[in-house]
Amino acid sequence: MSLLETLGKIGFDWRMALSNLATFLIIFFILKKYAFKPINKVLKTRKEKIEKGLEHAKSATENFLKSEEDYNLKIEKAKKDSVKIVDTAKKRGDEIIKNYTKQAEEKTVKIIEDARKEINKEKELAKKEINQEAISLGVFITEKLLSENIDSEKNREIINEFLNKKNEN
Amino acid sequence: MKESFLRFFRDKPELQPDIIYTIGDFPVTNSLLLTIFIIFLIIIFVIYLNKKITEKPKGIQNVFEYLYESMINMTTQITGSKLISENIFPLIGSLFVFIGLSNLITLIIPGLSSITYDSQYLFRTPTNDFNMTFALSLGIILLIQIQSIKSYGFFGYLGRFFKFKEVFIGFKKGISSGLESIIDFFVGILDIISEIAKIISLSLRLFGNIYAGEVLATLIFGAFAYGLPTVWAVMSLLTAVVQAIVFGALVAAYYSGSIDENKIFNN
Repeated sequence: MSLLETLGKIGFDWRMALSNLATFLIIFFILKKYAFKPINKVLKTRKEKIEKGLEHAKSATENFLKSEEDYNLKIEKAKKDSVKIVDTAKKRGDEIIKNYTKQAEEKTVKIIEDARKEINKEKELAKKEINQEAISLGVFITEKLLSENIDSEKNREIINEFLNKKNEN
Repeated sequence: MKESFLRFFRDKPELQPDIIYTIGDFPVTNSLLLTIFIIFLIIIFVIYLNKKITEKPKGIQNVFEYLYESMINMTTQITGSKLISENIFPLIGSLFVFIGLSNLITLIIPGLSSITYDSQYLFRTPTNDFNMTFALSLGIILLIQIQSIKSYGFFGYLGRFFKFKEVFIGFKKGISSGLESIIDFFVGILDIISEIAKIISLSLRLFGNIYAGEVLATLIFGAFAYGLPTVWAVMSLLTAVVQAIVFGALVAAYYSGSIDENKIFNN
C-alpha cells in the first residue's frame, strides 16, 4: 500500500489540501500585513521613544551634574575672588588712611608752623607798635615832666637810647 | 449502553471531513467552511486593531501586545537568535493564531460544531482535517527547504545530504577518519528521509491530537454528561493552546536548524 493510499484512508485529498494551504496563505498574508506589522511598528516606535526619553533623561542628568559642578566651581572661585577683593580693598583702604593721616599730620604741622610764624610776625609787629607807642608816650611824659621843649629829633634819640638800654637789660 | 438523562450521545467524529457541497469537481468541506469563518473573524479583528491601535496602549491592545511579545520571545528562545525569530515570526505567529483559533473556536463559541445542514455538521475544526494539517506541514517544510537553499546556496544545500566532500577529506586524513566520514555520509542520506518524515510527523501529530481529543470528548459525553465534560472542556482549552505552541515551536526549531545564521546576518 502506497503512502498516498494510506493517507487517503484518513481523508487525504490533494485538492482539499491545496485549498486549505491557500486559505492558510490568505490568513498568513492578512496577519502579516495588517496585524503583526502595525503591532510591531507601534512597539518599535514606543521603544524608540522610550530609549530616546531615557537618553534625554541621561543627558539632562549629565548636564545637570556638569552645571552643578560648574556652579560649584564658580561659587568657589567667586568666594576666593571676593576674599581677594576684600583683602585688596582692605590693604588699599589702610594705605589711603595711612596716606591721608600722614598728609593730615603734615598739614597740621605746617598749619601750626604757619600759625607760629604768623604769631611771631604779629608779635614783632605788636612789639614795634608798642615801641612806637612807648616812644610817643615817653616823649609825651618827658615833655610833661621836664616841661622842657626839646626838638623831636632829640627826643627820639633819647627814647631810642632808653629803649636800647632796656632791651639790653 | 442504555440512553439516560446522565448521558449525551453524539456521533463519533469521522476521520474525513464532510463535503457540504461541490463547486464543479471541487469539494467544499465543513472544515474549509470553518476556516473561511476564521478568516472572516481575523478580518474583523484586523479592522478593529488597525482602527484602535495607538502608541499609548489601552484596553484590549495591551493583551494583543502582550501576546505578540510573548510569541516573539518564545520564538527567540527556540531559535536562539533575535534576527532569525524576527525573520520567521510572521509565519510562526500566523500558525499559532490559526491553529490556536481553530482548536479553540468550537470551545469558545458553544454549539458551533453542532450546527447541521442537510443532516451534516456544517463546521468542523480545521485542525481535525488531515488535509489542513498536511497542507500546513508540506507548505512549511517546503518553505524551510527554500530558505535553506537561499542560505547555503544550491550546492551547499545538497552538500548537507550528500557528504562526498567530507568522505574525501576524511580518507585524506586517515583510514579511521575516512570510515567515520562514511557513517556521516549515510547519516546525510538518512537526513533526506528525516526531512520528508517531518511533513508526516508534523501533520499527523496535530491531526492525531485534535482528532483523539474529539473522540475522547464524545466518549466522555456518552459516559457522563454532567460535570466531567466541564473538566474535559477546560483541559481541551489547554490542549488547544499547547498544540498551537508545539506546532509553532517545532517549525521554529526546524527553521533555525536549516539555515546558516551568519549568511542571514550578512544578507
